[in-house]
Amino acid sequence: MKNTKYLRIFSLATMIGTALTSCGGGIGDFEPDLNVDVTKHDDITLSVYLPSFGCSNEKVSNGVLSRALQETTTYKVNFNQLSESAADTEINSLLSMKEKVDVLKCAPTVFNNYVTDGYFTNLTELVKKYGDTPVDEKGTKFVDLFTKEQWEACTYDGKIYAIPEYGHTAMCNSTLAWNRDHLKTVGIEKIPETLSEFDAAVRALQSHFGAINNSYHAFGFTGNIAQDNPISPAFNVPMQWYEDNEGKLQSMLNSKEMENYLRYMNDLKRNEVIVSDWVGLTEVNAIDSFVKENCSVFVSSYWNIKSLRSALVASYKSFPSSVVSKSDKEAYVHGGKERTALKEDALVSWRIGLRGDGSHSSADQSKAMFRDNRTVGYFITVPVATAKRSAYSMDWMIRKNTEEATKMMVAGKEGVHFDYTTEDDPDAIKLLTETPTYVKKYDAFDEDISGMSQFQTGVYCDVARQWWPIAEAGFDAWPVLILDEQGKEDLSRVIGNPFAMHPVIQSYSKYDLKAQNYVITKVQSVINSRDNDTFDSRLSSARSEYKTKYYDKFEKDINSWYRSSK
Amino acid sequence: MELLAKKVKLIRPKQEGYWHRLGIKLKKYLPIMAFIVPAAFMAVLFGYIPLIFLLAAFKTNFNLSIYTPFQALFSPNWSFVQFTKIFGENADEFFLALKNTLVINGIKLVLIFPIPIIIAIMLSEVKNATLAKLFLIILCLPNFLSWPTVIGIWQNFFRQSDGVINSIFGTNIGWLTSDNGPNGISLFRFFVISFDAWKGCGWNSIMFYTAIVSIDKSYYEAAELDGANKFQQTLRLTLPSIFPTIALMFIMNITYILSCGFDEINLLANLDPNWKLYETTLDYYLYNQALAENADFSYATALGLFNSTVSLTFMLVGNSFCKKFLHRGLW
Amino acid sequence: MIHKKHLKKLIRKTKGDRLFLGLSYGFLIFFSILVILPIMNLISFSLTPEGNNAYVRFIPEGFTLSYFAYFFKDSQFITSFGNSVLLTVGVTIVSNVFMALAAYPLSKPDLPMKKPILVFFIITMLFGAGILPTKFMLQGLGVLGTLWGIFLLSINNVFNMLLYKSFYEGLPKETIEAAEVDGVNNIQLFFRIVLPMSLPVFASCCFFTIVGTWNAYSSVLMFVGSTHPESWTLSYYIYYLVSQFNPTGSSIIKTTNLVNYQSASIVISTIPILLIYPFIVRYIKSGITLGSEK
Repeated sequence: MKNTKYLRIFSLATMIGTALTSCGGGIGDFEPDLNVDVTKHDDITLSVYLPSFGCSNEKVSNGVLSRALQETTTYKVNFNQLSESAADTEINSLLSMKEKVDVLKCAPTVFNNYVTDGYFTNLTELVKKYGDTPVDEKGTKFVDLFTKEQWEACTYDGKIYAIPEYGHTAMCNSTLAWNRDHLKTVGIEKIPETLSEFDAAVRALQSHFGAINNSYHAFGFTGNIAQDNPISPAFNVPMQWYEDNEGKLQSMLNSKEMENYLRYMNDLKRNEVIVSDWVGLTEVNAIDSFVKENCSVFVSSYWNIKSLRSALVASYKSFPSSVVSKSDKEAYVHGGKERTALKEDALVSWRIGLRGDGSHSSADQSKAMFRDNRTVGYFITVPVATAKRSAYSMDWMIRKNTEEATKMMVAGKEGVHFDYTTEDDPDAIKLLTETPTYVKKYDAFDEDISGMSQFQTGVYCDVARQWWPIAEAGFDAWPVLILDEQGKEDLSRVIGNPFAMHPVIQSYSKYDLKAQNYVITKVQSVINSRDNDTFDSRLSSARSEYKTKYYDKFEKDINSWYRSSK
Repeated sequence: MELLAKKVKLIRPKQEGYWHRLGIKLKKYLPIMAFIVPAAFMAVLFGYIPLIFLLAAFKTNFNLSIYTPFQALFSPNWSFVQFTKIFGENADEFFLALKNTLVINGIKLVLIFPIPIIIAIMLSEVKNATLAKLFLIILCLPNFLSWPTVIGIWQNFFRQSDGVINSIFGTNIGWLTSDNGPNGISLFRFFVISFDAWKGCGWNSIMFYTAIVSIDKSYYEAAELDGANKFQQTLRLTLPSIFPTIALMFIMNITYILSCGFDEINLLANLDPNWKLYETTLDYYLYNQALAENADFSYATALGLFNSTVSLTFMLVGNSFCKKFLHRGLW
Repeated sequence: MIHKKHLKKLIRKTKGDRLFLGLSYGFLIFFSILVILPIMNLISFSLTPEGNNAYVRFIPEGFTLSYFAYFFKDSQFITSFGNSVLLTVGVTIVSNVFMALAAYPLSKPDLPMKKPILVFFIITMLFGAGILPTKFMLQGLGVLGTLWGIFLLSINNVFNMLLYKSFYEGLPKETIEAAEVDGVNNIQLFFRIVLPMSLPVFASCCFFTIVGTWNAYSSVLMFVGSTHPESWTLSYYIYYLVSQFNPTGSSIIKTTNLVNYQSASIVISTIPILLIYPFIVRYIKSGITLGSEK
């Protein structure tokens, strides 16, 4: 009797458990439903996950841009941010636990990791059905917004699993931002533009300020940009992959240029120019240290300039005695009363691009080189959990890519955030359109649009490029660097990546995430070497370990693709 | 003939008596046994049913993209390849984590284990009862703080900028990095062990303190009359008296040698990527494989199964050791 | 015969004894300082206005309550605090009642099938299923990512059950038998008689459950995660701050004084434990003694 009682409890619990864990539909639920009428979507709320914006959830979900986007695309959307440091774990949890995520923007390593197991919806049929939707008045089709290589980069086994998102070479994301006053104190009047000038500047700054302030380190270097910063192109460091003498793809870790770059950074570190716990720091820490005058130059992204300037106005302690009121401080930081354009006498000044001039084993460049931003930067996917209504997600993506929506995301609303103006307006900013167009920015732009960078990606790229100068003056690389004297694109100054756009290769995709993290950690530890012997041994062990642990596993497959694609 | 009949008659009533007695026992205890039902239900639901998913360890690939976990269990790709992966393909990372765990726990056993005993002996020297209680209260306090609290407290000391140690001595050493100072020593193990000691020693000393306090005072008086000073008393009287307690704690520490405390390691590993890659322990490795990087669920389940089995073996061996030498179970 | 000089020899402490006593007191004071100073440092950081962080040793440099005020207005902090309180109270009561209930029959010496039932429970304590099987189980029940999942997971605590069991085995049989003769039914017997008699053990087990649930962040890390901020508990929120993950919650804390915010949040989270701590100290000592004698 007692036996059956416990048996009954056990079997009841087992049945409940299995019944609940087997909930989940048949296979048909994971294919897109092509027969929905996407024009009727009043009861649909899409759930979108994007990488961290760097601002509060409130601003992201209910701010001006999300409401404007809702008006333009007529879809109700719930925006969520992935955290900066724990994004891998969060994506793992979202995908494997089949949360109802409609659109997920993934980095390439994440995409590679999950696509081969089928975590993303097959979008081929949807692209065929909706791809010809026009996105501007000229009638450009949605599929034509991306090149053939970019679509190919999103395919696996002949099927499309993502919509590509890419930057454009004029979009220079990061720059070296200098404290003008510090440079003047050590007698440097010109903002450094070549590697020798940079080197002289940081060493002079370190010897002057380092003697006074124990926690001063001239260059606010952070761990997340160990090889992807304005200094490495001066050494011609390849972007992830390069082709060696035998025509095979090699990781950038093996290149001579990378070694020269690492030696230079190691030298800076050994001379206290870089703070010793730089590996764990991010840009926010660098801004903090810049404001506290513990560094004089750091690598700033364009979306952080606003917070940098407001932090300086609030907390900088070395304003001249004549600068007292808040508006005085703002003028001092921005360099003049106008707050939009980059002024020569601003407290914080920057130059994009550092030119290598043969010193310190750098490359001898006539003009600074840039990393090619036209590769697929992110993959916009639809996880299988919401495959059935992926038609709505696709429709929303297409509507977001229209010219009207893109203009809204990059520039805001006409009359509120900007207005068209004429050439002789002192506040005029010249757009990169074919016909000369001038706009001027209002203060509301900084509040509502500036820094909302994730909204500005995944949009009609050429339109975004045209409006780029309004985003932050001084980050416009296009006229300064990429165009040659005749005003044509000079791609010889772009550091490309031969392996940038490839279809998903199974053996490579399984190791991509781990290999990427490994290379970054190794580069950081090589820069931290305390003497030359350690440097050599760390670099050579990193190279050989990378080869045995990762490269040998996929080298045949990637090289066979590379040969066939040339 | 009569004898045989008597024998047969004697046998049958015994059997009836056994079931009869069982029936009476059940009738008496059945209402009370209903008390066990809630706990048993939770134990089955969270202790036994999840064991079904351990079968995921025996597959080549546990694909959760379109299948629920239960459906994925039924796909026909059974194999032992995950277990060979532990010792084959991923052997270096697994054995690195294992080595770190054993080294850290070994050092703890040698250096930190005596500290609660010493504290307890010293506490028993304090004659004033309220003072002893005050010391106890202060020393036991860190045990009731959470690990994020403890690491937050000590981060304030060892931070490079604004850290108390750096500001007192005027130095600028990055204690919490893997490559600090001119010698490039990594202080991870030092921090793990010392924070654990700071948190746990006071509480662990209570056990020894109650054991010491329960030693009969007359032994001490006799020893003092014989002319032994305090040191000799401690060595010859106190320590042997509490030897069973010491042995029990020692065996318990060895039993738990494979588990290093995930909470602390996770907090410290987030401070430096090199620590995350090279110095973390087995628990952290298990967590990383299960949740963070790969989405290789069958490998993570295989690791968990392997770890649980080895821990169970250790515990059973430790328990039988205790029973044999100390005449009591571990629990 | 005991002469006076023998008595004097007995009473006077030798130099070695005084050294030993002095050493004991010295070490104890040293350990106490080692405990108190870092905590004072933490409190100082939580009260120092920004800009003075470089000068803070063990007392605050300046005084400001702005960090505490910030947290009282932060909606994520308030949600986490509320979740922690709910979870702690719920788990403590339910878990201890379930375990005490189950321990009572198991303390009767002639209970049928006692050994198999004990083994049944002890196996759950020894052999854990691991992170992933538990996660799949919670997903199947639909409680993954909610507080209910953590609640259900924390109820099973066989160690407490064994403590209760050994205590009940030591209860005087006469009281129980007298009550049974009076015709009290089992539930009343348990709650009115047995439980009050076992108050020291029950209170100390409750206290340990409170502390354990309040402080645990790894179960929230694994089974709720950063994608469900509405189910965070306070200790997970503090873990998030201390690990310097830039908070993407309701507002951004400037990193110029992240230290101060971290310290203030840690102080707030420790206050509830410190409030109950003195009351429980007297229960702890007797509870542990009883438990360790099993």
